[in-house]
Amino acid sequence: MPVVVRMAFRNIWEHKAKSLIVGTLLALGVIILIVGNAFMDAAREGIQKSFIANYTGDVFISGKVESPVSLFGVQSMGGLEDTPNIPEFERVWEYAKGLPGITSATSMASGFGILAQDEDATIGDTEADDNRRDAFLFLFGVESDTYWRLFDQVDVVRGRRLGPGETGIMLQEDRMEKISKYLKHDVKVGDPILIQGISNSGFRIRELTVVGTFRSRSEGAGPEQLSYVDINSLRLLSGMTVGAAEDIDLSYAQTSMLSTTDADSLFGGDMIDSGAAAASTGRIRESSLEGILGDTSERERLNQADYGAWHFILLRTAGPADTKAAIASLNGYFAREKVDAVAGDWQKASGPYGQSVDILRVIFSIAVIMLAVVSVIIIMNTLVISVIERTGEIGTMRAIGAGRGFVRKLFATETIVLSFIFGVVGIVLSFVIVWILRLLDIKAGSQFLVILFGGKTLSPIIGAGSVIGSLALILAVGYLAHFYPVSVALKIQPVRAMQNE
Amino acid sequence: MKRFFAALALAALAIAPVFSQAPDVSKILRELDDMGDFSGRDFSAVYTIVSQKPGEKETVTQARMFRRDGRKQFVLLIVMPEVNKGQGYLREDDNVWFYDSGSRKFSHSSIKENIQNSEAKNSDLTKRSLLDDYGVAATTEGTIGKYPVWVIDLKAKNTEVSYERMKLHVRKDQNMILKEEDFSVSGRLMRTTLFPKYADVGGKLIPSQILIIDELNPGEKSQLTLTEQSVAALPDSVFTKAFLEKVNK
Repeated sequence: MPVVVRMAFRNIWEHKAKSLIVGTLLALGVIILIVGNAFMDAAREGIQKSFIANYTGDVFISGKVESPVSLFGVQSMGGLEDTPNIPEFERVWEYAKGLPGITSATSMASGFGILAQDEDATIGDTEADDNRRDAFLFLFGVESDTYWRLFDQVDVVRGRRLGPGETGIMLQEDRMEKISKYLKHDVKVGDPILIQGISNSGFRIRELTVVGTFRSRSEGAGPEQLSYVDINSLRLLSGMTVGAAEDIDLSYAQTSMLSTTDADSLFGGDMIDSGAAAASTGRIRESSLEGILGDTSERERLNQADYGAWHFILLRTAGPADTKAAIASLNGYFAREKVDAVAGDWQKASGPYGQSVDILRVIFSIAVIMLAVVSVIIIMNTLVISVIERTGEIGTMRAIGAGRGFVRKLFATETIVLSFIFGVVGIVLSFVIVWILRLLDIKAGSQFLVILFGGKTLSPIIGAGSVIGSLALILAVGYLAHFYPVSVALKIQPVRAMQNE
Repeated sequence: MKRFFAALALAALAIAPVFSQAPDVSKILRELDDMGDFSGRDFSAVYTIVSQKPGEKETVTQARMFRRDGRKQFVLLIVMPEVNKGQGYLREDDNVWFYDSGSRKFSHSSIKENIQNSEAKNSDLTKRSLLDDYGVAATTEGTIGKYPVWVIDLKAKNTEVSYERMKLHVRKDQNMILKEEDFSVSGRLMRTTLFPKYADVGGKLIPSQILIIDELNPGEKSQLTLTEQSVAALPDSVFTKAFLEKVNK
């Protein structure tokens, strides 16, 4: 063993108290890093597994708008923006399905709705405002033929899955009680329920029969209010109808002010429009109101579902390499063919859920950086004190011929040895902590905890990368911390140092 | 649809009377409140709202409104776009029903809730009281176009109002609001509304053209045009679910 290493061990042993303080800090740092990463990895893996298996598949294709699009709609600042349809759907579908490594494919659309009270309801028939959350539905409009082949982990608890061509809705089993409570009557499989769809083109009410209830087999986080409906009901509820892009002729008077840039110019003439009002007195007869809507025959046609409208294509691949290749091929194809669509992975598809993992990781990384800075300062301080205490020893060493380089090497070795020993201690303790945490079988009580835990119970995973990375980081922290104390030591003249002794 | 209801709410409140030139602000506000109240009379009109957003197609909604304030009733019947034709809202006391002509189904909500997804609350479609909700912070003079105006700076007395501060530009010679500016708590201008045209309906001055400018999103504005305004008595049967069903037959 080289002499500097032996001396380093000896010094660590001789200054037990200080070594222990610095070492404990280093070990603590390693524990925080490894256990923290174990949480992060579990959260990411949990969400990834759950989303790929249950909601997103491996590859996600959507229409392209300025803001990011996920299965949960367009994430924009302005609020509700309609999810774009995939342009030239048939071509995109054929191309995507034919890519190598694709094992199955489905197309779907999503939207929002609320459970509606029926017409006989009055005030008091609905639960209080704080229960309104229970009325919210996130709707996946699916084509049964292909959807259940891709997502076979959805277990039917009561009733059955939506069949091909069948109209209806499937609700989450654990929400049935809340829904019944909200609607103030028992909702069972086979019952019709009223759903009010919400989109930018307005509101639509549809009555759908509850064909079954479901539960996801995988444990990870997922959208709580998810319900499955047949694709055409979704289209009708979300305004994906033939009449969605209807043109309306407007008179000049109805739009004249929109082009005004000078507000004052609007107030130049007579403000009272005497001819505008209709007969303002007398009585309006009921019969005169009967035809106020005019011809409504066109309405029926415009309100038919647009059978070619799809929001997303989801693909299952044979492996991660196929996923990457498929996404690259698709985006290349869209660019070449000038199709306003985009392909991404599960994280893009999961939108806010996938991002929550990244946000957690950023917060954790900031905490780690702060911890590293504090550690460096504390270790440095402790080493400075240690160096000052050992001034005589350093002076003597230098007087008998030890060069600056030797002293520097000695201190560097000492901190690295210290970091290594306590780093290993930290690693061992991290494994023990994670083992105990897994034994405790802590249950996630809320949706946030389900995301954080990566499943319904806390089961952190220690990865090899995290162990090696943490040890490397702690060695770097130790090495960094030795520079200043050594420079202090080297500033002392050997003669003065020996006098102190 | 969001903007449609916001515009409608504005139209409902900006109904102004003919009034004196005296800068007695409380009196002006009381008169504005009184004249916006249709209790004892029915009111009906066709509202056309055209909304503009930069880079997007104009959206148009036309609806026929029937109001009976005395009984807290209204019916709003969508006429355009064609795809939503016949959809309607019926209010009775604190109940609001939405009717979808496509499925011929009603859904129920309470007046306290937001109108579906819009920023407007159902209660916005009922009358508001300037005098009860706002206190006068300052009154200055100004001009809009060729009209001298009182600029009345109002500060909210309670937290239930949509805007903390409001500046009303009221014509001096006649009690008509020409311009309303709405401010946030931090004093930021959120929305400007112009009322350049009024109609005389049975002795009441009712705005017939309104321009709403979203000050937070440049280029976003809506024009609201009222036609066929009337205070003629409406049949009781209008304010029923059966009416919404009947006109759709």
